[in-house]
Amino acid sequence: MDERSTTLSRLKSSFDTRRAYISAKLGTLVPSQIRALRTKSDMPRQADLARASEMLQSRISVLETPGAANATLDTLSRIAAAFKVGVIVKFVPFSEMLAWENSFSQDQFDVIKIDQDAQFLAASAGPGSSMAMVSIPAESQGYLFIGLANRTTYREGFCNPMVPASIVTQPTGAASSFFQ
Amino acid sequence: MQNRIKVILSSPTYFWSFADYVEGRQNPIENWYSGELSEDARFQFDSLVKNTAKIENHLQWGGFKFLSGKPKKYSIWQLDFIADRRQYRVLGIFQPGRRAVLLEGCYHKGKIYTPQGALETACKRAKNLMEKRATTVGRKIDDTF
Repeated sequence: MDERSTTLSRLKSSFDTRRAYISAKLGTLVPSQIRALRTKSDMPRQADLARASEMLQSRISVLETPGAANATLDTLSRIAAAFKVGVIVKFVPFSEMLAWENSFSQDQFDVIKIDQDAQFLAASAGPGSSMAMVSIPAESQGYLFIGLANRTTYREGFCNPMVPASIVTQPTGAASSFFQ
Repeated sequence: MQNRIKVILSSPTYFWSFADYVEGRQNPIENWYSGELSEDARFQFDSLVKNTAKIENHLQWGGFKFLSGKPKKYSIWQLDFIADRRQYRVLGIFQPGRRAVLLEGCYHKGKIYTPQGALETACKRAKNLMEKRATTVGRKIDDTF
């Protein structure tokens, strides 16, 4: 059995392995998003973000350290509010989480602030809006991912800006290539 | 009809490649990775390397800093990450062609590095590489995990 098969087998059978895997992705990508937004914002120093989010600078430093995934939802809300962006917490299949990781680029990651969010400022989401276009099959093994987000960054009708353009909806077919 | 999502795994753009220090037949980085790291730490390390390789400016790498003191002579840097409630450090140097060579893995509490002498070991290995008494081997970044 090769290394990939072994890891897949453990992911399928072991709660601890799945938890470790998920924690690692979040532990890398959440700090990376915060760092990306901070360095592109008008508060490039950790101390500035700390002041805006009413936290200590040392806490911001920890939040930006890879692996520091124990941020609470309240902490993420504070960070998002300081950046004037939204934040999504959503359970997804492993394949979607992997696609998020593979497509994520700290260099390119940015989110429109509420002041420039014309779509949000102009209208609320109603029936038939892009928010309702994707449904996840019930049998999918959903797991959590967290992304700082803004609706105007959606592409091709997806409500998740972390999902790359290479993800497409299909009326039929396999839900995931993760386990192939 | 219920829509389903099909994920096509496209290759990310990597600006950097990572490599392990190798001396003779010994790969101390792989030994550290497979022998000393827990499953949590291995996943965290893999994810860190994958994300870091996509960040063009190394000064923007999360947990990155150049070391002072003796390691500064060899431009040794460290990458920090947290796993198992431990502060891990990976020590490395850059080589031409945007290649990051990992010299030593350790963890850190207070002013104590475990294994002891990690900084000295990294300096010695950097020197060995400069004097071509050691080589490197590429570290694979797995897009399928």
